[in-house]
Amino acid sequence: MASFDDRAIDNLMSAVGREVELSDSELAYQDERFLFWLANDLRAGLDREQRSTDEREAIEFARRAVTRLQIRLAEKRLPRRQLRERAATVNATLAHSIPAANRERCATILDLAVAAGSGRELWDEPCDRWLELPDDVPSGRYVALRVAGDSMAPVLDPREVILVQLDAPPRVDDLVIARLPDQSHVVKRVASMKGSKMELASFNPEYESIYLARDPSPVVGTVIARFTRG
Amino acid sequence: MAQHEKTTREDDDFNPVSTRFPTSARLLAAIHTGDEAAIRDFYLIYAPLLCDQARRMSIGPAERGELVTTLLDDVVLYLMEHRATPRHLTRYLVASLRNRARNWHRDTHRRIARRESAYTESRWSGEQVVAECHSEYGMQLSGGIGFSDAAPIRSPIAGLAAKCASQLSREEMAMMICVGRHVPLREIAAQIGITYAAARVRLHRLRERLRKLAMEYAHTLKAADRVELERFFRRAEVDLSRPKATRKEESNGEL
Repeated sequence: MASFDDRAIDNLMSAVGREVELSDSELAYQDERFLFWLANDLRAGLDREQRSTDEREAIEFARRAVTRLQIRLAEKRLPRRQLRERAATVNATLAHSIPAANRERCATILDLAVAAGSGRELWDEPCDRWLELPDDVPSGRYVALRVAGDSMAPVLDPREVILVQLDAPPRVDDLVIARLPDQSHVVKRVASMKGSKMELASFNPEYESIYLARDPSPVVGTVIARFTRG
Repeated sequence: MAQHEKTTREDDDFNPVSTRFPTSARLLAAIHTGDEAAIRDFYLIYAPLLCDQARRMSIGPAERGELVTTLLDDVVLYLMEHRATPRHLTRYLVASLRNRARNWHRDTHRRIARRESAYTESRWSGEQVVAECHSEYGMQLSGGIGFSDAAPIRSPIAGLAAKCASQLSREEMAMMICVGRHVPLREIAAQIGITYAAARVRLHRLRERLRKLAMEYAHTLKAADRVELERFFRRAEVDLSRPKATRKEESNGEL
């Protein structure tokens, strides 16, 4: 240890640099440019196998991030409310029940799973329960539907009730009720509306997107609230 | 003059982030719109850096990936949700990771302390000791704290580093970190905002200064610590392996 040759000093500099970097908890000596250079250098140093693993993980990461954002936004837009329901004063089909329910600031409750039978019209379904509209919901044409299936979990859980504003024009990211070509109804998120096509996506990644023609509009209405039983 | 302009410090968006997103501002703008390709690039660029930082902060290999992915997940969500635009994205990410790593260590220490207290204070401890059958080998295999390959170096070297830190200027500290990471001299010059020739001179002076400091420091050490310092030098020659990407450049440069 009497003297330090150049190699020893180089090693010492490297080690001291590493120590300084570790103790630099406030990043006082590491600017954006240095860190970015390091990011690129480390990325360039990956071998082929690591790169392909990274690519796969990145694709999965991006998909998950976008889904998480959509879930978060939907959760914010549709806070869960307490369900208040009562027996309908008029026993009629949905088409006749809506105006009567509207007069009493209610919305007709319909089981979406029941309405999903092939060839049956939503408007012909009989209704005997009404949902009392929350005070902040303006008057309008509404229908309350009970959700079946887990394609929209975790935003919409099975058996939850959603309030749908009828005839509201759909926009991207809205949750909508759409009629499929086989006459069944689904609740989905409008992922995109490009050209003559509309993409309806699920929050649950296990379900594929559905593509429908925009004209004539298959959208029955837009979800504006969700309710849980106490 | 032209060369000086090339090496002077430029704005934040000096490097292409990726071919699709030439600046970090554009990358952020694309992330704000929920562009999947931008988020993918974001992961590809920053995940290796953050994994490296986690390794340096003694996060075990088993936990490293999860820590980094969770952090990137949360940051991307925050960026998209709040349309946030951190001025220095890389620094922001590294600082966030360091915070989480510190919390992770704190929680780990607490957990270990709670578990240890279960043996000595079984009557008051909330943890229940069911059985005890751990071999030293098993403990090491489990990769608990203290067995990491990136454990901090021991006191004489830490003392030397502290001594250096107290005597070096801010710029020299930055230079030292670059040297520790084997950054090519040209890049160091660009980062500090000086010419290549000036960087060479500064590095030479820094090396001489460090030599003097190390000599002075070695004389103040006790025999045992001096042995430790010697051991460190031997280990440093073996352990301080250089990243593949910079090996080619080292032969051309000063480092």
